[in-house]
Amino acid sequence: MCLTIPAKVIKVSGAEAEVDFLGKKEKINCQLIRVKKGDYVMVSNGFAVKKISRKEAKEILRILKEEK
Amino acid sequence: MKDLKGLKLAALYGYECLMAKKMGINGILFSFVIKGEGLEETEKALKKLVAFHWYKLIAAYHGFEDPFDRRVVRAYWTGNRYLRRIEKEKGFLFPFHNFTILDSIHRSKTALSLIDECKISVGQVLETRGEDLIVEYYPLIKRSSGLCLADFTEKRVIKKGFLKQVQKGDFITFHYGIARERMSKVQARSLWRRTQDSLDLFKELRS
Repeated sequence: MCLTIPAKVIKVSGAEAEVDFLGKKEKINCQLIRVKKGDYVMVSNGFAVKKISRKEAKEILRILKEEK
Repeated sequence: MKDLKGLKLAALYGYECLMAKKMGINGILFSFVIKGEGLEETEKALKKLVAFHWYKLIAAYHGFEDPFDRRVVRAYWTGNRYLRRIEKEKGFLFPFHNFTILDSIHRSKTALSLIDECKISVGQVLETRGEDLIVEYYPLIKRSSGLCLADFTEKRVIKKGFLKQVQKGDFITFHYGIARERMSKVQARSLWRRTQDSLDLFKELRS
Protein backbone atom coordinates (compact mmCIF):
# COMPACT_ATOMS: atom_id res chain seq x y z
CA MET A 1 0.00 0.00 0.00
CA CYS A 2 2.78 2.17 0.91
CA LEU A 3 1.91 5.17 -1.18
CA THR A 4 -1.77 5.99 -1.20
CA ILE A 5 -2.71 9.64 -1.06
CA PRO A 6 -5.33 10.90 1.42
CA ALA A 7 -8.16 13.23 0.43
CA LYS A 8 -10.88 15.08 2.34
CA VAL A 9 -14.52 14.46 1.42
CA ILE A 10 -16.32 17.70 0.56
CA LYS A 11 -19.60 16.42 -0.78
CA VAL A 12 -21.28 13.03 -1.18
CA SER A 13 -23.76 12.27 -3.89
CA GLY A 14 -24.88 8.64 -4.04
CA ALA A 15 -21.92 6.44 -4.89
CA GLU A 16 -19.81 9.43 -5.81
CA ALA A 17 -18.02 11.99 -3.69
CA GLU A 18 -16.19 15.21 -4.31
CA VAL A 19 -12.87 15.32 -2.52
CA ASP A 20 -10.07 17.75 -1.92
CA PHE A 21 -6.74 16.31 -3.04
CA LEU A 22 -4.03 18.66 -1.85
CA GLY A 23 -6.14 21.65 -2.86
CA LYS A 24 -7.43 20.14 -6.09
CA LYS A 25 -11.07 19.05 -6.27
CA GLU A 26 -11.87 15.70 -7.86
CA LYS A 27 -14.75 13.29 -8.07
CA ILE A 28 -14.16 9.81 -6.70
CA ASN A 29 -16.12 6.61 -6.50
CA CYS A 30 -17.23 5.46 -3.05
CA GLN A 31 -18.83 2.12 -3.83
CA LEU A 32 -16.33 0.28 -1.66
CA ILE A 33 -16.75 2.20 1.58
CA ARG A 34 -19.41 4.49 2.99
CA VAL A 35 -18.15 8.05 3.44
CA LYS A 36 -19.58 11.34 4.65
CA LYS A 37 -18.65 14.99 4.37
CA GLY A 38 -15.54 15.77 6.40
CA ASP A 39 -14.13 12.22 6.29
CA TYR A 40 -10.56 11.62 5.21
CA VAL A 41 -10.08 8.75 2.79
CA MET A 42 -7.25 6.99 1.01
CA VAL A 43 -7.90 6.93 -2.72
CA SER A 44 -6.57 4.64 -5.39
CA ASN A 45 -7.43 4.83 -9.06
CA GLY A 46 -10.43 7.03 -8.34
CA PHE A 47 -11.88 4.78 -5.62
CA ALA A 48 -11.99 5.50 -1.89
CA VAL A 49 -10.41 2.42 -0.32
CA LYS A 50 -10.03 3.28 3.36
CA LYS A 51 -11.25 5.86 5.85
CA ILE A 52 -8.57 7.40 8.04
CA SER A 53 -8.52 10.00 10.79
CA ARG A 54 -7.58 13.63 10.16
CA LYS A 55 -4.43 13.08 12.21
CA GLU A 56 -3.43 10.10 10.06
CA ALA A 57 -4.09 12.02 6.86
CA LYS A 58 -1.88 14.92 7.99
CA GLU A 59 0.84 12.49 9.04
CA ILE A 60 0.82 10.67 5.67
CA LEU A 61 1.00 13.95 3.79
CA ARG A 62 3.86 15.06 6.00
CA ILE A 63 5.75 11.82 5.34
CA LEU A 64 5.24 12.11 1.59
CA LYS A 65 6.41 15.72 1.65
CA GLU A 66 9.54 14.79 3.59
CA GLU A 67 10.32 11.88 1.29
CA LYS A 68 10.12 13.98 -1.89
CA MET B 1 -8.39 -21.56 10.46
CA LYS B 2 -5.85 -18.83 9.71
CA ASP B 3 -3.66 -19.15 6.67
CA LEU B 4 -0.28 -18.63 8.32
CA LYS B 5 1.56 -18.61 5.01
CA GLY B 6 -0.67 -15.79 3.78
CA LEU B 7 -0.09 -13.79 6.96
CA LYS B 8 3.63 -14.39 6.73
CA LEU B 9 3.71 -13.22 3.13
CA ALA B 10 1.72 -10.09 4.07
CA ALA B 11 4.16 -9.38 6.90
CA LEU B 12 7.17 -10.06 4.67
CA TYR B 13 6.13 -7.45 2.11
CA GLY B 14 4.56 -5.01 4.58
CA TYR B 15 7.76 -4.79 6.64
CA GLU B 16 9.61 -1.45 6.42
CA CYS B 17 7.09 0.24 4.14
CA LEU B 18 6.41 3.90 4.93
CA MET B 19 3.21 3.22 6.83
CA ALA B 20 4.59 0.28 8.79
CA LYS B 21 7.42 2.56 9.91
CA LYS B 22 5.02 5.35 10.80
CA MET B 23 2.81 3.04 12.82
CA GLY B 24 5.75 1.41 14.57
CA ILE B 25 4.77 -2.13 13.61
CA ASN B 26 8.01 -3.23 11.96
CA GLY B 27 9.15 -5.16 15.03
CA ILE B 28 5.89 -7.11 15.14
CA LEU B 29 6.08 -7.97 11.43
CA PHE B 30 9.74 -8.95 11.63
CA SER B 31 9.21 -11.28 14.62
CA PHE B 32 6.37 -13.01 12.86
CA VAL B 33 8.30 -13.58 9.62
CA ILE B 34 11.48 -14.77 11.32
CA LYS B 35 10.20 -16.57 14.42
CA GLY B 36 6.51 -17.06 13.78
CA GLU B 37 5.76 -15.20 17.01
CA GLY B 38 2.82 -12.90 17.78
CA LEU B 39 0.07 -14.18 15.51
CA GLU B 40 -2.70 -12.03 16.96
CA GLU B 41 -0.78 -8.79 17.09
CA THR B 42 0.59 -9.39 13.59
CA GLU B 43 -2.89 -9.85 12.20
CA LYS B 44 -4.07 -6.72 14.01
CA ALA B 45 -1.10 -4.72 12.69
CA LEU B 46 -1.55 -5.94 9.12
CA LYS B 47 -5.21 -4.93 9.17
CA LYS B 48 -4.11 -1.32 9.66
CA LEU B 49 -2.26 -1.22 6.35
CA VAL B 50 -4.18 -0.23 3.22
CA ALA B 51 -3.03 -3.48 1.60
CA PHE B 52 -5.59 -5.24 3.80
CA HIS B 53 -8.41 -3.48 1.94
CA TRP B 54 -7.04 -4.80 -1.33
CA TYR B 55 -6.84 -8.32 0.16
CA LYS B 56 -10.51 -8.02 1.20
CA LEU B 57 -11.47 -6.95 -2.29
CA ILE B 58 -9.60 -9.78 -4.00
CA ALA B 59 -10.93 -12.33 -1.50
CA ALA B 60 -14.53 -11.18 -1.99
CA TYR B 61 -14.17 -11.23 -5.78
CA HIS B 62 -12.95 -14.85 -5.77
CA GLY B 63 -15.15 -16.05 -2.92
CA PHE B 64 -12.32 -16.66 -0.45
CA GLU B 65 -13.37 -16.31 3.16
CA ASP B 66 -9.98 -15.27 4.50
CA PRO B 67 -8.47 -12.00 3.19
CA PHE B 68 -5.09 -13.34 4.35
CA ASP B 69 -5.42 -16.44 2.19
CA ARG B 70 -1.98 -16.92 0.61
CA ARG B 71 -3.46 -16.86 -2.91
CA VAL B 72 -5.03 -13.47 -2.19
CA VAL B 73 -1.93 -11.93 -0.61
CA ARG B 74 0.25 -13.28 -3.41
CA ALA B 75 -2.09 -11.80 -6.04
CA TYR B 76 -1.70 -8.34 -4.53
CA TRP B 77 2.08 -8.28 -4.03
CA THR B 78 3.57 -10.12 -6.97
CA GLY B 79 0.56 -11.35 -8.94
CA ASN B 80 -0.83 -14.76 -9.77
CA ARG B 81 -3.91 -16.08 -11.54
CA TYR B 82 -6.18 -14.41 -8.99
CA LEU B 83 -4.97 -10.97 -9.99
CA ARG B 84 -7.75 -9.55 -12.16
CA ARG B 85 -9.13 -6.22 -13.11
CA ILE B 86 -12.26 -5.79 -10.99
CA GLU B 87 -14.93 -3.98 -12.94
CA LYS B 88 -17.23 -1.65 -11.04
CA GLU B 89 -19.88 0.78 -12.05
CA LYS B 90 -18.05 3.76 -13.61
CA GLY B 91 -14.59 2.33 -13.37
CA PHE B 92 -12.43 -0.56 -12.37
CA LEU B 93 -9.90 -1.53 -9.76
CA PHE B 94 -6.63 -3.29 -10.32
CA PRO B 95 -5.57 -4.63 -6.93
CA PHE B 96 -1.88 -5.03 -7.66
CA HIS B 97 0.68 -3.27 -5.50
CA ASN B 98 2.81 -2.00 -8.37
CA PHE B 99 -0.29 -0.44 -9.89
CA THR B 100 -1.88 1.03 -6.76
CA ILE B 101 1.23 3.07 -5.91
CA LEU B 102 1.29 4.90 -9.25
CA ASP B 103 -1.52 7.29 -8.35
CA SER B 104 0.69 9.11 -5.87
CA ILE B 105 3.14 10.28 -8.52
CA HIS B 106 0.33 11.91 -10.42
CA ARG B 107 -1.45 13.37 -7.41
CA SER B 108 1.29 14.54 -5.06
CA LYS B 109 4.30 14.72 -7.37
CA THR B 110 5.92 12.09 -5.19
CA ALA B 111 9.52 11.60 -6.27
CA LEU B 112 10.13 8.93 -8.89
CA SER B 113 12.89 7.47 -6.71
CA LEU B 114 10.39 6.94 -3.87
CA ILE B 115 7.95 5.14 -6.16
CA ASP B 116 10.85 3.01 -7.37
CA GLU B 117 11.67 2.09 -3.78
CA CYS B 118 8.04 1.33 -3.06
CA LYS B 119 7.46 -0.91 -6.06
CA ILE B 120 8.20 -4.61 -5.77
CA SER B 121 11.29 -4.94 -7.94
CA VAL B 122 12.94 -7.98 -9.42
CA GLY B 123 16.70 -8.14 -9.14
CA GLN B 124 19.33 -10.61 -10.19
CA VAL B 125 22.13 -11.14 -7.70
CA LEU B 126 25.57 -10.21 -9.03
CA GLU B 127 27.44 -10.56 -5.76
CA THR B 128 26.89 -11.22 -2.07
CA ARG B 129 28.86 -9.02 0.30
CA GLY B 130 28.28 -9.75 3.98
CA GLU B 131 24.76 -8.59 4.80
CA ASP B 132 24.44 -6.84 1.44
CA LEU B 133 23.63 -7.97 -2.06
CA ILE B 134 24.70 -6.29 -5.27
CA VAL B 135 21.85 -6.72 -7.71
CA GLU B 136 20.94 -5.51 -11.15
CA TYR B 137 17.37 -4.51 -11.83
CA TYR B 138 15.18 -2.48 -14.15
CA PRO B 139 14.48 0.90 -12.52
CA LEU B 140 11.39 2.96 -13.04
CA ILE B 141 12.08 5.90 -15.37
CA LYS B 142 10.11 8.77 -16.81
CA ARG B 143 10.01 9.29 -20.55
CA SER B 144 7.98 11.77 -22.60
CA SER B 145 5.41 8.98 -23.06
CA GLY B 146 5.11 8.53 -19.27
CA LEU B 147 6.44 6.16 -16.63
CA CYS B 148 8.05 2.91 -17.73
CA LEU B 149 10.53 0.29 -16.68
CA ALA B 150 13.94 1.06 -18.13
CA ASP B 151 15.20 -1.00 -21.04
CA PHE B 152 18.60 -1.05 -19.31
CA THR B 153 19.61 -2.40 -15.93
CA GLU B 154 21.16 -0.57 -13.01
CA LYS B 155 23.32 -1.97 -10.25
CA ARG B 156 22.47 -1.26 -6.66
CA VAL B 157 23.20 -2.44 -3.17
CA ILE B 158 20.35 -3.87 -1.14
CA LYS B 159 20.10 -5.59 2.22
CA LYS B 160 20.01 -9.38 2.23
CA GLY B 161 17.07 -8.97 4.58
CA PHE B 162 14.94 -12.07 4.79
CA LEU B 163 17.12 -14.18 2.51
CA LYS B 164 19.65 -16.31 4.25
CA GLN B 165 20.65 -18.60 1.41
CA VAL B 166 21.21 -16.57 -1.67
CA GLN B 167 23.83 -16.79 -4.37
CA LYS B 168 25.07 -15.14 -7.52
CA GLY B 169 22.60 -15.50 -10.38
CA ASP B 170 19.51 -15.86 -8.13
CA PHE B 171 16.40 -13.86 -8.96
CA ILE B 172 14.95 -12.07 -5.95
CA THR B 173 12.28 -9.52 -5.15
CA PHE B 174 13.13 -6.41 -3.17
CA HIS B 175 11.16 -3.55 -1.68
CA TYR B 176 12.59 -0.46 0.06
CA GLY B 177 16.11 -1.78 -0.48
CA ILE B 178 15.48 -5.06 1.36
CA ALA B 179 15.45 -8.49 -0.31
CA ARG B 180 12.16 -10.32 0.31
CA GLU B 181 11.95 -13.58 -1.63
CA ARG B 182 13.79 -15.73 -4.10
CA MET B 183 11.97 -16.37 -7.38
CA SER B 184 12.37 -18.57 -10.38
CA LYS B 185 13.31 -16.91 -13.66
CA VAL B 186 9.75 -17.49 -14.91
CA GLN B 187 8.22 -15.86 -11.79
CA ALA B 188 10.65 -12.96 -12.08
CA ARG B 189 9.70 -12.47 -15.71
CA SER B 190 5.98 -12.55 -14.79
CA LEU B 191 6.39 -9.88 -12.13
CA TRP B 192 8.34 -7.71 -14.58
CA ARG B 193 5.56 -8.19 -17.17
CA ARG B 194 2.77 -7.38 -14.69
CA THR B 195 4.60 -4.24 -13.61
CA GLN B 196 5.02 -3.16 -17.22
CA ASP B 197 1.33 -3.88 -17.87
CA SER B 198 0.43 -1.78 -14.81
CA LEU B 199 2.44 1.13 -16.16
CA ASP B 200 0.76 0.81 -19.56
CA LEU B 201 -2.66 0.70 -17.91
CA PHE B 202 -1.82 3.76 -15.84
CA LYS B 203 -0.71 5.65 -18.96
CA GLU B 204 -3.93 4.69 -20.71
CA LEU B 205 -5.98 6.02 -17.78
CA ARG B 206 -4.12 9.32 -17.75
CA SER B 207 -4.22 9.90 -21.52
